Amino acid sequence: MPTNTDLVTDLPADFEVFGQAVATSMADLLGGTSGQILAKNSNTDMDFVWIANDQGDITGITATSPLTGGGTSGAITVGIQSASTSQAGAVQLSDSTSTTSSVLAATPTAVKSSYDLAAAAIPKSTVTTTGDVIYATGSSAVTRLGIGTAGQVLTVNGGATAPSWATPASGGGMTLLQTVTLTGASVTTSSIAGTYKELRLYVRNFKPSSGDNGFNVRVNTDTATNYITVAGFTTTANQAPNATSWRFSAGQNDTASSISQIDIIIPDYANTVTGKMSYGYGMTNNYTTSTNYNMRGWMNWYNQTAAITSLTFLAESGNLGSGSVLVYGVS
Amino acid sequence: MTKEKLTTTIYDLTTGEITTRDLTVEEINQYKKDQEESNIRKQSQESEKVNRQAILDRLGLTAEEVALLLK
Repeated sequence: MPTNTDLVTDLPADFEVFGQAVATSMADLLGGTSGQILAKNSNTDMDFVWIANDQGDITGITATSPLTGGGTSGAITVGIQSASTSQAGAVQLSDSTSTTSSVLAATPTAVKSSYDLAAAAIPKSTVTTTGDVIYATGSSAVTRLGIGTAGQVLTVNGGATAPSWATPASGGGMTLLQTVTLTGASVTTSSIAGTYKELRLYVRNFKPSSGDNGFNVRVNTDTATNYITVAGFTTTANQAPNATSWRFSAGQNDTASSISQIDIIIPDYANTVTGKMSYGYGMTNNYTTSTNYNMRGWMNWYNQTAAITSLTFLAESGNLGSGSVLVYGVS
Repeated sequence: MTKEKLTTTIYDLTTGEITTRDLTVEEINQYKKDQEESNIRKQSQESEKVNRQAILDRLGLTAEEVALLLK
């Protein structure tokens, strides 16, 4: 720069020096393009740079799912796609607890309704073992009852406070005491317990060894004339004992096709205060090949008071041929 | 002539024991007595049958017709 002591003739040189200094320090102001703005390039004085005029403005929007739209110029629109089970997006809320929609979203109201129902339900953990059943122990309270044992039935406990498993009381059942084979002169079932209400005999496929000989039953090996049998259930008049066994004359004739089935019931057989009654129904002739059947019924009386403890099966005459007797005790 | 051996079988329901033995003399006698009684009864029944048929013949009716009348 020129000073106040410089000669006039020195001015051109001095201005040249000044101009050169200005040109150097202001060099950053040179250049640039239309629309650009000047910005500081560093903290150094006079250090500038021309940059695009986009500082602080949105110059474009790039939309990625679930956003839609976007752009870099003009009016830019941005949206959100609808949500589905295959894409993210915006969903509509719903209070419904019954809808089957797969695009609606549950509100806390709907969630609470579901929660309240679940909280009031019987928890699955109540049961622990196969066969468990659930019963109430009070209002809104439940517990488990483990499975019973084979044959038990569901009943109510002694205090009538809860269900429980119990073995059913015996009654009405038939117990097979013995199956005897009809062979020889006679077959006897002995030591019959007196614990049943009645005895029942199923005679299967009886056939005598010969002749027209029926199926007879003798009580307690008693061979005295203490028996009476009436076919057809009605005596013609007062009748005295006239036989030494009960006679179920099933009309068999011992032909190749003749066999007998008889059902005999002996009620109250163990009492010791009255005589003993029995009655039976029978059918003779082969049950599969015959076209004609001989069916009869019999009522029998034994006039002794002793409990029946043995039954002897024999043919009316001669030997037993074949067949069997199922001896049941009926409770 | 071969004589048939008479046997009886006893099922003891308490012990489960099954015994087959020959009939005692007393039992054989009862066996024969049963046969005799059976023969008598059958003869009686046969006799009744003959008498019944004689009556039917006299009346000129069949057993089925009589049964129909008595029904």
